[in-house]
Amino acid sequence: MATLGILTREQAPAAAQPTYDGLQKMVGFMPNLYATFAHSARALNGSIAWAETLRKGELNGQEAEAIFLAASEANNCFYCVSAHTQMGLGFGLTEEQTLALRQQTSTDPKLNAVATLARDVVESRGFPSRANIEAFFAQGYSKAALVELIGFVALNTFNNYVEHLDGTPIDWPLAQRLPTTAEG
Amino acid sequence: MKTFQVPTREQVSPAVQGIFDHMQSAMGMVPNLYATVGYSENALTSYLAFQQAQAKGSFSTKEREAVFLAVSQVNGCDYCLAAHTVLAKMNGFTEADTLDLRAGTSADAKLRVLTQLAASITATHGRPEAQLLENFFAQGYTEKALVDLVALVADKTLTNYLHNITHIPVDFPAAPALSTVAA
Repeated sequence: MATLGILTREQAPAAAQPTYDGLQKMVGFMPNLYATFAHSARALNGSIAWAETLRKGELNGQEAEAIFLAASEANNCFYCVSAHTQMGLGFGLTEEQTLALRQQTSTDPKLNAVATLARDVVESRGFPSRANIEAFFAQGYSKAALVELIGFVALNTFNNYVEHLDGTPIDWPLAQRLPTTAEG
Repeated sequence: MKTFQVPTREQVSPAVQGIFDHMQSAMGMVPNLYATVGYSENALTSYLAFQQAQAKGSFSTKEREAVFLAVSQVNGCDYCLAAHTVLAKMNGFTEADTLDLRAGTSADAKLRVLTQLAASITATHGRPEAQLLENFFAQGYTEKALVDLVALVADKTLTNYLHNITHIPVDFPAAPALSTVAA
């Protein structure tokens, strides 16, 4: 049962409606999860702005998607994994790479260090192993990049947790299930 | 391994220096943890914008401080507990109140329900007990408030995790220990 429910553009508060138009244009449809955030125009618009600014920081599109994929897998958010698989493909990742990033088995050492640290941060609530932090810095990432990684993880928390509250119907091509992926 | 230190003024961008100046005049200090977010101008500006939007969201200042205390308790962030204990007291709570908010035992029914749900969302990574959601709506909170509550949890997740990773010095008086609460 949905706790919140998906709002149509007409049901959404006026301040959220331009975002429906913007996402319709940018993504080609209004994703169900964003149409759930829309109960709060501030949270909808604020979370999008948060992501947009972080995406202009030190981490590129593939690195950002590596964080979203690893953190969403850790939180068992299959909606978010499916969405970020599509976004990852848009940033030039292959489907095999997205699967590897979800399991921290990427052969790309930089992306693997990013995904491994992101997952550890989520699962440990911010107490990742020293080895995973060292591996991240050893790939040449800066302290600013670490702060931004935590920013992405925090933002992803909003996406994953709202999804869990609502069991949002997945309106993206379904990602492959991993043996470890829980339902939901 | 790089040890994290609070950046000096010279280590942050001119835009971040301007934010520090504003904090100094508004708060009388640049809290070490905000300064540490300032390693990244994009992380700091986007975080502050998200936070400032929520300051005008569904919850009063006291409710937001209650949520921040409850979430920081679950995530085990001593910096955030110290800072939000000070902020809670500035906004009308006693120190005993702050302990109740962290433990989910406030005598105020609305605050008790709010902090219990915030703690459960945090502890379960977004899958709180159904009863806690029912209690929340029974207190008159709306769907909009629930989305805003998750936004506050995400806000606090950033500072909780950043301090848990960096262990930069706590520049607020330490919060009292809460020995009775299960994490």
